[in-house]
Amino acid sequence: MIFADKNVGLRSAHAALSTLAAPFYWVSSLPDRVNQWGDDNLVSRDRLMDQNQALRARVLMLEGALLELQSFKDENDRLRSLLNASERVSQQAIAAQMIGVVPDPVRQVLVVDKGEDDGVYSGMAVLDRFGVAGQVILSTPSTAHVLLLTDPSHALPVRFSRSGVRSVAQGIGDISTIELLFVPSTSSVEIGDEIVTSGLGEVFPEGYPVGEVETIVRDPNQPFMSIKIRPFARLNRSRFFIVLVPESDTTLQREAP
Amino acid sequence: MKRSLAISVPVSVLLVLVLTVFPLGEIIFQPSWGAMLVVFWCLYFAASLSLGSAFLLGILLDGFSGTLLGSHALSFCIVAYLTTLMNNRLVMFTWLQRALFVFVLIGISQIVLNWTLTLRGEAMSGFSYLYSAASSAVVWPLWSVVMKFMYPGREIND
Repeated sequence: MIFADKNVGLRSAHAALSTLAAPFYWVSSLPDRVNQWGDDNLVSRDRLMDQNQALRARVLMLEGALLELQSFKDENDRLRSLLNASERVSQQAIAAQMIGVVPDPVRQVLVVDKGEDDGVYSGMAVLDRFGVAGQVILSTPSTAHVLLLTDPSHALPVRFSRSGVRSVAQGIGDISTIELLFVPSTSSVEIGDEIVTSGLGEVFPEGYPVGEVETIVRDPNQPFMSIKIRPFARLNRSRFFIVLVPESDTTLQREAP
Repeated sequence: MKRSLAISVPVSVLLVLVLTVFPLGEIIFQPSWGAMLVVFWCLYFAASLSLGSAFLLGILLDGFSGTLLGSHALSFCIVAYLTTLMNNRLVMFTWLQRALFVFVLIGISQIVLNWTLTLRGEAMSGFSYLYSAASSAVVWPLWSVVMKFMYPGREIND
């Protein structure tokens, strides 16, 4: 079976079977869609007006924040050019909706409703509204499988935003914790420290929030600390995700870990 | 294959595929719908639906759940073989005894499936894989009623 997994021909057969699964995921997400449709269409005028007002206020607030961010960005670009560093590339994003969970109890893989036809390929980074969620490991024409960062086979290069110490965040199979590997016992870490992506793996761009430190165990006999972090992304609640499209095509079609 | 099976089999396979990807709470407690269909086939239609169809259903489910191609197929084949071996005895049992037997059969299929998962280093810890066997046994009486409704004619085992 291991050999079959490495065989190119059988691999494409496997991918074809996954493509076949797409309509079933769509059917199984129907109750959720009906519910959502009801939320969208069967609301009272008062509630819509309230919602509208709240959203308008929020847009104003975000526009204000955006103006400030724009000036920060200009300033940052100027400072970076002073340092002779390259400018940060801005990323394109595709919004995707979750339509199912792969029925495999040992892996944490979601199915989203955007695929190759929409420009989603394996190796792309996936975020939700709060932070990094995972990466695309398989894409069919109309759906894609997203490996969550809490899956035991997922590792993500990160750094502490406060101290800059680099580390690797690996999933342990629990949806609400990830583990940090190779943080020396002597480095300064506090509970509540924010972890961001370091951009070293070239899958995830630099600087996106990943999570915050929840527990630290320092054992003087061990060279590394054992640190658990809580991911910011609401992996078991979020329905909408953002797939980041890299600017250059070099990182496309990369094999997932 | 009989004419009635030509309709019943695709319909029940479609039902199994939808149920497999249908989110019903924690995945770990989900009944193993595919294995339950295989057990039903081998209980009542062992002459026409047995190892071959179990293998094909397994391959289909492997594609669906992203497991190594062949892991569901192997576990379903073992279940099909064991059920076919004992189906004369099984149809004599009371419904409670049969449900208990389904627990054993699907437990075996889960053990085999979990063993193939270890090949890729993703086995479940402890005996947690037996939860789905237990839930399958609980659902079995209802499942067999629905399936008997779906498969009107019944073959007599040789």
